[in-house]
Amino acid sequence: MSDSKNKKKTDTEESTSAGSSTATVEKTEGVLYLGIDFGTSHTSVAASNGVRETISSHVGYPKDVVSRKLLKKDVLFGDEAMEKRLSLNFYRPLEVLKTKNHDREDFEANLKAAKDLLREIIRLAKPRKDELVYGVIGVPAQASIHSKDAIIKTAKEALDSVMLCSEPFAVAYGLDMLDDVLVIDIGAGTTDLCRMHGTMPEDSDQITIYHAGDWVDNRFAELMVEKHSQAQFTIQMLKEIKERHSSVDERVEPALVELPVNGKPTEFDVTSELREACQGIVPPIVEGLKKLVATFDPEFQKRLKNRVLLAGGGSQIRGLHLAIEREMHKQLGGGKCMRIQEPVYGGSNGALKIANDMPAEYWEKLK
Amino acid sequence: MPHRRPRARTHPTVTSPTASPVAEAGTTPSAPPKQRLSTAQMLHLMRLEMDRALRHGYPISAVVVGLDGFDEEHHLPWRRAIMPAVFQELKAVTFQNDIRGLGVWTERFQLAIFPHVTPDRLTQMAEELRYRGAALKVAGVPESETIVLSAGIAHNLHPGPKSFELLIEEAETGMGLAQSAGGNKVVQAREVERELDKLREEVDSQIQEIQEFQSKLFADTDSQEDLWGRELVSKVIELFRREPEKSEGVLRVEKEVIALLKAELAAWRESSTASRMIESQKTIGQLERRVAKLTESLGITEAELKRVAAMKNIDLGISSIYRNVQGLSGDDAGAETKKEMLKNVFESNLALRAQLASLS
Repeated sequence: MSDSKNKKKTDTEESTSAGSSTATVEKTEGVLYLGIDFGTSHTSVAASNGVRETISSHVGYPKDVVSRKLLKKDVLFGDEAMEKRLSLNFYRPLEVLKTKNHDREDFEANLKAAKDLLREIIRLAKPRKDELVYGVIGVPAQASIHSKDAIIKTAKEALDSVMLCSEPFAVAYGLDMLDDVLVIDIGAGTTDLCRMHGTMPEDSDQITIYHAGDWVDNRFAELMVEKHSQAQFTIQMLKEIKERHSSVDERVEPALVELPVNGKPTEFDVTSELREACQGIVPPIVEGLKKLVATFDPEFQKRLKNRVLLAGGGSQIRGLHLAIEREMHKQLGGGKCMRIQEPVYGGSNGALKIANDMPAEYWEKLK
Repeated sequence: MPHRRPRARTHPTVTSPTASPVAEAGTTPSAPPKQRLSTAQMLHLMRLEMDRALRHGYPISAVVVGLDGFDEEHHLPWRRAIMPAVFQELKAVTFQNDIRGLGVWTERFQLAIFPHVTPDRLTQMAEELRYRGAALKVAGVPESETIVLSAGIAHNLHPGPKSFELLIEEAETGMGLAQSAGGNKVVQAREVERELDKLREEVDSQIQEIQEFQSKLFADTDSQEDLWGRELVSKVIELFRREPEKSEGVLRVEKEVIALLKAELAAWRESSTASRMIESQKTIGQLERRVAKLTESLGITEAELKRVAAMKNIDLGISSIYRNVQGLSGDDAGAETKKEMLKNVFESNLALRAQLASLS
């Protein structure tokens, strides 16, 4: 089937340039578009065949022959990898890809894990072998050139043409909010703030802060040690608690969780610790917003403040958008923050839309 | 310089534990005593061969042979007896053809790969094996039971992704196709798919032909006839003008002739258009029937492929909703802004590629 993969018919219906008012439409044997959000915590794909999949960005390889025989797989992904991490050489590759530190001992291993993860997410999109597959991949703004190179090379093994774009831009594009919008994309490793003003955001339009999901987990752990010193836990356990109970609202159901104390499961009320940890990211985010608003055209600052989009996995913290609004009121004298409807697929949906709108000749040139 | 004796064979010697044309590795407790390597070891060797073939760019072909029928539980002992016998036949065929390869067998199928062997040659060998299989008599299997074999062939002489897994998967698909088509066949799955592609192309070109035919149908001829009719009327008028002095009678005749001519021309045009339409309709009908037939045939083949794929647990993927590259529509809200942004995304990717190229 792959014979026809690269085959293109020449019955071009309208052949005008991409810059002109009509897009080029070239007939092919079927075109599958993929929008991929390659995130530190989760990797998602949205495809033009209706498939939408997300897996946690974890990759694991059996440590030895025994575990390989037991697991019956050479590589495990997502929650399965997380679950069986004790028998695996376990990687969270995107975390390392962002570091730009290529001298790290495990950089090459993480790079390989990232490649395998990308292959897996493309496989999950169920592309047909006889279709052209074009993909746009949202990558962290800080990903090093070495990492981008690896991503492109890996993607090209499975895709006919591939483009990279920044994650917050993909979110804004997907929601058709391209003018005077501030996007807050709260990931696991970083929170990206991006100012959209009708053109491609430049470096000065983007701020990255490290108060994100992982920061909340660590802060939560610190508070747990302080207040429930007898409780035994790991960061992963706290992450699961956070994903279930996270909130910055004052009035919420108490977060009652069972944690072992000397081996015995004991119930703890962690509501206030979790809330405090979640609230910790609000001031730095608004601080970043303040910088982006303050350096914007004064005539449009009010409009910008009233169009703040909250995206990314971190946006699922209950009441976070209201907490940001309250903080904006304090620091900026007002503002409106909206949470996007699909935090998990916001990036991949946007990337899919970019892929869909991209003229044919651009794809051709990047083959 | 010492004279070197030329090598007798043009193909390389495949690492073979038994030095026989097809090295074997059985997987059942009743495996023959010749077994020297485990299946996993043999598969590892095969993978190495594939990698070598890909590295050096020479052909490598694979065959997966299945036994048709014998699917009931009580057939299992027969299968266990037949499969090693078939494997011996495969070895014999490869011997006769002076070919070496690596092979494994299980109760369900036999798998062998042959470096430096083209798919056509392997297809011939598989056909030979099929004939030999039919004549095979195996101890413990009633003579009334005929041994029927199906085989799938795969190779690396094609564009697109290539790996050991894909090679085997394709050969398995071929065997699945052969069995689902009644068995006793040798099928190259890739050839079937190429056939499908051809069918798809043919349907598309037929549809295009109809569209072009319809659009061109009356465009030119109508205007030519109008011109010709007008010229005829002008010539008649010119003819009457030559008469220097026109009597009342001549004038009346002139008017009547011109009116008659116009009426006749109109009637003729109407009838000629109608007859042309009938002719054209016939052609369109024929073309449409052909398209319907081709589409039906394509549908059946695709359904069959899906059935086989489902049976073999092969995921063919899900089709996209698009047949064409889309591109941004000019009617889209904010089209100009988006176009500029898309251009920027493209240019930044282009720059990134250039940067990566310079680094490497």
